[in-house]
Amino acid sequence: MKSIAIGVHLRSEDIEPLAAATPAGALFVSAVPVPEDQSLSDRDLLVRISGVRAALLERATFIAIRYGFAFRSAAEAEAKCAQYAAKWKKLLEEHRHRVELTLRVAAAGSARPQRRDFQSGAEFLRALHSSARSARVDDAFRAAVEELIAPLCVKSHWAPRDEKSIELCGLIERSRLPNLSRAGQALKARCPHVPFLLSAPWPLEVFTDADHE
Amino acid sequence: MLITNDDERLRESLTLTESAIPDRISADPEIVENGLARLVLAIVELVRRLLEKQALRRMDGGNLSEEEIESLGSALMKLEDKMTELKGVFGLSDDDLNLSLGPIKTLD
Repeated sequence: MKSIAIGVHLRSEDIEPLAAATPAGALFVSAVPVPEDQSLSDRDLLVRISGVRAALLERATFIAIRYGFAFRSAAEAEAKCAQYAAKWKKLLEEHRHRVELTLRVAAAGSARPQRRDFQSGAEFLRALHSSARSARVDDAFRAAVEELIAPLCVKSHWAPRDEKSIELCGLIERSRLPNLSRAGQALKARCPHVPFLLSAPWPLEVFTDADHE
Repeated sequence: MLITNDDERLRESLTLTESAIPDRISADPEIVENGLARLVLAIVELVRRLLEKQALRRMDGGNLSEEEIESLGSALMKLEDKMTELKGVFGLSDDDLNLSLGPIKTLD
């Protein structure tokens, strides 16, 4: 058997019996045991893991582990967490009652550089980088987001995704999710001209990374 | 909670990979090669774009040396050259290789 990791949690009771809780130092890794020969790309498995992940998040906030990490012993799971264990514990304690949100927005940007216009790899990569980071969201939409969504967040920041989209990442108190839902509807009514996708709640991921940098 | 003002596009995107992966691949020997090539190249294109995104994230970090930037950029150029060549061989366009990744978005 192997265990497919889902997240890192403060307490085992936040995990069991929804998933298996594997001790990893002062933390616990949630995981779903599967046969050794189980393919990770199996659709039913993906749906099952997704369901467990959502149920775990209903219980308590955790730090997400990207799908694909499988371990076969507690030592292996602990090794995965060892480098960041102290930091993760502090983050989990600090953000126990918070979740992440994401607001993906279509943006205007410059055209993607054409490969045929470049001879140097460095110039090509710099042009790709410049193009991908030039996405700009509609001013009125951005102002509406800053007015309706951002104030609900404990922390938030805009992050460029590619040349055609940009994303607002936010950390929000769970208790404010109903307010977020209302704010999303208000945003939809106010800015029908800018395609967006607002989703929440999500486990800690973006803000965990940001705090590591 | 999922809120969008572009329901139609979201609904379309929820039909995973439909545009690139046919329900069946014709057994006609003249067609089967093209169908399989489309499928394989769509996946190769996905990997190429992931590599590009990773390179851009490393650029964001600002700690790549000039040599590393040149090396990464050259690798991306060669990948793009190879994809252009293979698309030409099998008569495929960029749209043919655009996997829909559900609510995440399409590849472009």
